[in-house]
Amino acid sequence: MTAEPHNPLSNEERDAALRSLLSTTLRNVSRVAGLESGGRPLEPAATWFTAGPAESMGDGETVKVPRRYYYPLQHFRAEEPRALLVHRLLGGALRLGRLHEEGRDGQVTAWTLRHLEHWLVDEETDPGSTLGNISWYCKVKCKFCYQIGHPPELKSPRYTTPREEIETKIRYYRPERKQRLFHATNYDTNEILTYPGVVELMHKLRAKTDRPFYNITTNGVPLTPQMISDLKPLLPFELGISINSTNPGLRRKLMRDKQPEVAIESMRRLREENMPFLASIVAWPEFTLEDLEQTIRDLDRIPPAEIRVCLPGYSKYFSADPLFDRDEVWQGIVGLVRRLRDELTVPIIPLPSIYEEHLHDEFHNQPYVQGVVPGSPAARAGVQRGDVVASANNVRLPHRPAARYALTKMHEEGVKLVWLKVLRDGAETDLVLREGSDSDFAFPYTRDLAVLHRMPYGLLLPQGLGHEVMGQVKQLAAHHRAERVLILTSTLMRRPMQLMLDQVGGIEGADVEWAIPENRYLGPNIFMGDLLTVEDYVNFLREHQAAGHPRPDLVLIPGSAFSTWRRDITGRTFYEIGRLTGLTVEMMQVTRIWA
Amino acid sequence: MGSDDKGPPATNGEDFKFRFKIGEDAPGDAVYDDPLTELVRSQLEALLDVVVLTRNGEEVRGLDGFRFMKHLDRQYHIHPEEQD
Repeated sequence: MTAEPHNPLSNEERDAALRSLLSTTLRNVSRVAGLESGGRPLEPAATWFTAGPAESMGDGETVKVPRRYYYPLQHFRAEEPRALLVHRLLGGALRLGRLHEEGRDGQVTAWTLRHLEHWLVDEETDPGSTLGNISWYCKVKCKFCYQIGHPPELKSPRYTTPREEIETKIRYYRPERKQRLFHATNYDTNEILTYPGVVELMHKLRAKTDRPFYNITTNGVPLTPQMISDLKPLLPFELGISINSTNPGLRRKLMRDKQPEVAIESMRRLREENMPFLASIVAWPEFTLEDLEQTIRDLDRIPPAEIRVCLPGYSKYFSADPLFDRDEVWQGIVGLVRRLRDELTVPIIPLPSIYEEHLHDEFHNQPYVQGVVPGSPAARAGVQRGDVVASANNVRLPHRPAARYALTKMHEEGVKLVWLKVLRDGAETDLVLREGSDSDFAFPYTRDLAVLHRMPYGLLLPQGLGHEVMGQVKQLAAHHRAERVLILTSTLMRRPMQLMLDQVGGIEGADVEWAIPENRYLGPNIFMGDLLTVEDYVNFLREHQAAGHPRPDLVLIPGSAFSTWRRDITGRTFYEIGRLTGLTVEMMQVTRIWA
Repeated sequence: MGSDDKGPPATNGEDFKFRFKIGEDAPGDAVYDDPLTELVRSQLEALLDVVVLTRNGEEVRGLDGFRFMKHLDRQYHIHPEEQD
């Protein structure tokens, strides 16, 4: 606490100013927040505020607070920090004054969001996100569950989303105006399909929109025959099954799945019901490479639209000691995937997908085909994995973002015929993608799934860096008249970024230094830049300067680690980096690579 | 922090109350003794956590202090880590 050497205002002036500021704050806050005392609403019209000792206010000493749901504020940190602002303004005011109501102290114990329509956000989003944090207890307990490794401050208080909250969110979802209630992030999301009454809630959402739902993820345990029949009328939606292994014994052992047959059998039933899905596998080393191979082969016989093989990792909170040699394990998995791809038809993508290119030095930003969904228009046209897309309907597609954007757009807009020119073994080949009728494709492809998952016509195209990113880099350097630019990146992205900057001729008149900050927040095993925090960046920059490196005129940081509110996973803002280091720091708008 | 483990409470069709407990995630320790100075400081800190001020359309970055207009010779820090 800092005591002022002198007070700039007289006592009277101070008291008047304080009263005025507190009253204004309370009045403004009351417009968006309802105040409660022990569960009883306080009517703003019947209350007034005076400056006074803080001890009697807001600490729950005298008013009995009923047991009820309190919303975890931390869910708002990343996506709706205005709620935090209200909370802080209110908390600060209540520390300095007291509220009176009808002649007695009105001790404020809680506040609520008033007028939910004020909290709608404009956002074209997938309807499924309206369900928010709907999830219930997992019926499995995976040994490798990422939630075990959450830092303490990211762990949610035990909060099960009340049905009322979901129903309210559905009620306020306005697809015609592209509006919905704010998104509250819960990093501890569990199993959606075990939520009591989930099917009924999804029907309510379906009644509001015929748009496909995105990303209903399940470990497969709830996918009983009854659940599959219940879900079918709700199509279209993307169903992702975290199958991990088709070996019942290993599912029992590593996932504590008491009835592994349900999940394994569900995939065959989904095929019978013509309900496509995606499968994911966390390639945790204890499953063994032999089991991974068998699981992929089993899946290929169904098949899902895509198999995502998640390369395993863990934070320092999961284990402070090394559990396995990451590079060795990841290289082994990628090697297996590359071998199986030559034999099998189902697309198999290790995630993060850029790791494979990093490992084999294959990043050239060319729009090559990563995989082709079996039964899709692309598969029927004869597109092969490894083909490089050169043009579509006579539009030249020189690099990945152009190809991905153009084909996705054509597909979303319902273009039914696409003349595709691809490069294969050095020669140009002409192919025709047709999606005019249902007979142009078959399981596991559907148009809805392909639109949802950005697999236009069944083509899996890798994400790339847009030339506009490098245009932005040059523009920022020019704006700041920077002669020394420090670009912070990650192990996986450094080479692609450098290559692309070289392709556009670098930054005129500036020296560029590249550096890779360490992730101390989650630990050294996490090396993807998307999970770096403000603290990591600040630490790196301070140490970089302390080590005697020349001071950069401009520091560029990828925006992929930050939410739309420019907050990292801990809720701290990007702007703190510049303030705390005294450096000029700007954000590059790049896409996340882990998703 | 759910109140029970039995399941979500029944709904009666009214809007869900997004309710927050006073005292949770409380403002940090006061930086200044003087309540008015502290109120201004904490409000600026909270605001600058959500908005970026602009001038002629350009973002004004790195704001870290304020002065009362009556006494421009005295500078106050906005952020606790910058206090003297």
